[in-house]
Amino acid sequence: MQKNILEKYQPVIGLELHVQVNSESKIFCSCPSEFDAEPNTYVCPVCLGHPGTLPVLNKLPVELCIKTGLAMDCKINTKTAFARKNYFYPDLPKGYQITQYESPLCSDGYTEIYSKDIPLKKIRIKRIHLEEDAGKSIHDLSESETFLDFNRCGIPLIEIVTEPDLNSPEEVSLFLHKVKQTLEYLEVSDCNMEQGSLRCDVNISVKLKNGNTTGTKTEIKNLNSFKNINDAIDSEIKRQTGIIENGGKISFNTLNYDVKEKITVPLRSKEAENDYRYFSEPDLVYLNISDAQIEELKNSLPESSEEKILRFKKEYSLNDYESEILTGDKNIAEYFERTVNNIKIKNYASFKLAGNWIINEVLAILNEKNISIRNFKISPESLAKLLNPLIEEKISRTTAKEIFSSMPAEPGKFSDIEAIILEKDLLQVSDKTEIEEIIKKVLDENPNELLLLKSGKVKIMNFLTGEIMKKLKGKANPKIVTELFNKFIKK
Amino acid sequence: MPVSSEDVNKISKLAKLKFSEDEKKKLQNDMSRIIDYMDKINELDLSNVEPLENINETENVFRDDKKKETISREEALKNAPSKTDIFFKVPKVIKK
Amino acid sequence: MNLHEIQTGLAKGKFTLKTIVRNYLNTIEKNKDLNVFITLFNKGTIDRAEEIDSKTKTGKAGKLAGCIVSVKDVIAVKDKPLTCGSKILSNFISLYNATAIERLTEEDAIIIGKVNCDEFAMGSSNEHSYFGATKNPVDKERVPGGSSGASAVSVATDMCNISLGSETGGSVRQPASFCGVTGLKVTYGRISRYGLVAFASSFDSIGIFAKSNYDIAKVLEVIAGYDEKDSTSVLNPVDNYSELLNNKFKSGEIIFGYPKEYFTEGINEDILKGIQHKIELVKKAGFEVKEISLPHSEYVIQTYYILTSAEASSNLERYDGIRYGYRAGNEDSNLNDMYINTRSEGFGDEVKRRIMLGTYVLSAGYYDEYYKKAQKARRLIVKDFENAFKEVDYIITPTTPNTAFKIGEKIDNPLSMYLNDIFTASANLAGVPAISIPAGFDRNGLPFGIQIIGKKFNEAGLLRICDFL
Repeated sequence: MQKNILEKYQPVIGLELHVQVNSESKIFCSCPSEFDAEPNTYVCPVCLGHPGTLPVLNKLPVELCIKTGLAMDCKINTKTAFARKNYFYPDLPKGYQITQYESPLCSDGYTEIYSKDIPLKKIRIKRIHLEEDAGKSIHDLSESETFLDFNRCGIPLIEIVTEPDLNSPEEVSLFLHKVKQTLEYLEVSDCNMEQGSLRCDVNISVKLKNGNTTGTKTEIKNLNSFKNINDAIDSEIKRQTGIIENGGKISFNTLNYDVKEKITVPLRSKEAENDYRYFSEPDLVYLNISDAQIEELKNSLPESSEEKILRFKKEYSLNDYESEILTGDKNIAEYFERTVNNIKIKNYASFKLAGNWIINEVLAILNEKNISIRNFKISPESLAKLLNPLIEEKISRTTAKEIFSSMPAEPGKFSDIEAIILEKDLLQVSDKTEIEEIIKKVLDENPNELLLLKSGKVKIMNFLTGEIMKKLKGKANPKIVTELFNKFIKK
Repeated sequence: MPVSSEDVNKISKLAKLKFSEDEKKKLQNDMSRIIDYMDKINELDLSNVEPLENINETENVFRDDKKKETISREEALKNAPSKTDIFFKVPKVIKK
Repeated sequence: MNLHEIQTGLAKGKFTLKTIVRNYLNTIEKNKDLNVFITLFNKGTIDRAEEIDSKTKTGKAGKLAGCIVSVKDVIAVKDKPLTCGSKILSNFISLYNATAIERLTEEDAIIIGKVNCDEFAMGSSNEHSYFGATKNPVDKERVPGGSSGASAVSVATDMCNISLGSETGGSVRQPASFCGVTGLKVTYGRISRYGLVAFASSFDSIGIFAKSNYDIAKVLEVIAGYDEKDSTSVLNPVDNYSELLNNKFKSGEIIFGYPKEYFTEGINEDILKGIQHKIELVKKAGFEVKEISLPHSEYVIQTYYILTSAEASSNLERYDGIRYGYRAGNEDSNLNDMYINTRSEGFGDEVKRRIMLGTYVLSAGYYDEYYKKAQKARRLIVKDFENAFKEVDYIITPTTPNTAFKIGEKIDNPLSMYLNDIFTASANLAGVPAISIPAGFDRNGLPFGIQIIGKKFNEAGLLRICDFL
């Protein structure tokens, strides 16, 4: 973005997030709540809006919505109700969406964001409520017709609405990652943007940095990747500041983001204008959540990522960086802790070694293969079996890496790592006489290098130890090699 | 008349209904008479009355999160006026 | 014959269920001109009767063997048409059974067919049906009442012994009164609404027509009760209504009230006399009858029409020609034209009028003015009944201000049609049970009913009162 524009204007951004809840069945009927079934196979008279059918509320999404609210320091509104939002759209079978309007389950919370570049900032959460998802319109299978798949219809959604407290695409991104992490920690949702389980509407306006009047806001609908959100905000800031710089006015608009052209496009105003005629849903009864139930849910909240970071630092003596990386994804934190549980020698050094092994070796493979830790072939128990001999200095790091790199291909084969180590003669050589013999041999083979070393060329030492290690096939304990080598030189 | 012809136009758009000019006039007339009649409700002092939404004022009716067998796709599509073997069909928003 | 007599006869082998069903089918055939049935189950009905006859022989027949039921075509029966008297559902086949139907058939009641009604149960005359008006058997130029008009006719003319109708503001009691049969509207939530096509969800309930209160009691025992598919159905235990009928009220045990607001101008003289006569009978039987007040009675019709139209406008949004039902237009229509043409061609005038009215009262600027106010007024009307029931156990009123009117007489005057619900709609607003019991005939020989309104969940009391009225 042009720098001078950003120096002059400040974007004011609020988000509406729609999160598909992890549940076995839909919110108002017992159809499976799954993502990738054959079209129109997970539907029933209720979610197809057949005449005479009625909704019955699934308890789990209610609990997960409250847990989300608690994790974001919201007020939990004990007495709430559902409402109908009336509008016609082909993927909305009843002609209305069941949602919450006047009384959301949670309101007035906040969540904190920070990074190296952005100091700690509170983002206020206006409300969090429950609603049902709509079906899917498929526009690209025919020239003249839209095809409809109602499997998604009725999947429970949690809508999170922020106050307009975000002021840059970077803050938005940071906030989204934070929310995603929280929801994953709570096991509310997998937040998979590609599969549409986390979708985002962005409200955006710009104001002069030194002014205090906020401009007219626009709304960008249905963004479904971190990149698109970032790009859409960038382009909308450009569009709005462009209009203002040219003396124009922003009109309240609903926009779509055109991914190909990388621009925000206003919808025809006719489509945008609506009167949803909200009123209380007469087919459902009031929700009245008792303080005791809220307390119970509060006690059932899993450890938050912040709490986990603090605990990892204390319990495992990890540094800030290590703790943050290992807790960034709940599943990685769990992987680490399960590994540590299987480590035989439990001390800070071995915890650190295990942690760093996961950070440097495991995460590298995950990144390279673009898979999640849940799909990683080596179990924490197997990893511990590999790390144990390393910690006990029975094998060298080089050997450990070699074994590790061949493990993912045939995870079954490595169920008994100790046997493999013995079988392949990979045990680290710590026998001093054997090492001394090799050192002697190498020095005999390289008389010139020995002379150079003695004349003060210290760098040649790396070459010589390299040769020694080569002869030891990487199995020697480097500490012992260095120690013996120094003895030799001094002789 | 309390209901204007603009009201009739606006409401029919929201309700996805259309009427001939004659029908509109009659509808405006009917609606106006009914709304006039309904206006009697404004005589009531309702300032301290809570709206009644749920007649038995029952609370917290839930089902457990268990999936059940659904109907077949064939059944789901059985009543559809326009469909393929697997999808329901509607005309596009704008016809090309 | 009431159900008890039929069941005794069946058990003793005096006659078979098959002959009973045949007789009913013959009566239906002979009275085709009344335009009662939309769908007749014919063959299937006789097969079912044979099955139940053999079950009867081994003593395994269900509690409702001998019950032949016509069902208002707003209640879902699996694999059968469910038209709601509307063009928009004229080709729709239900994929499931309403809970009430499920419970009836489990106890071996036989559903004989689906009967006509005002479109989506909106109307008081049965004239607003895509399938034509149903006629009053007493005078074929007159309406049978509505919206469950054909249900009342089917029972009055012995086409069946039970009919399931539906109530939103008097749609069972008013036609019961016009046709001279008994019609019960239950407490809101007493019978599951699952499978009852919604008109106004916070008012709707399934109602039962029969000639005998015993038959109603037997059917109610089976279909009443909590249903996990309807969140607004209630957990209160279901009474043994038919056994309770043996408990006669002792003199002085109960107190009746008649609301002064219901006995003013505009009531047909013969009805007024008839009801007064009944009140005298009640007094003679040793019960106190006193004047009470339901002070917000004059706001009932307004409150009722605002709320029911609002709910209806939303409930009817699902009829869009996409997943089922009628679709208008041709290949060239765009989406919006398809919606508008489908709904404009598919719905009749009265339904469209209510959708327009309901959309209006919910739209921006009018929501607070009408809808919210009506919700508050509804609470006042509920309070009226709560207060009245502190003084009395039952409330007596005429069911309707008039007897059956002529077909076409009110069709162009919606407001005068709406005023037909003036005595009945209050029970739906308050969610209390009420019954219309035949009470006599006017000077033209047209029947009328007396309405008894009871406390919530006191259906048993209403059915017991039938015995001495």
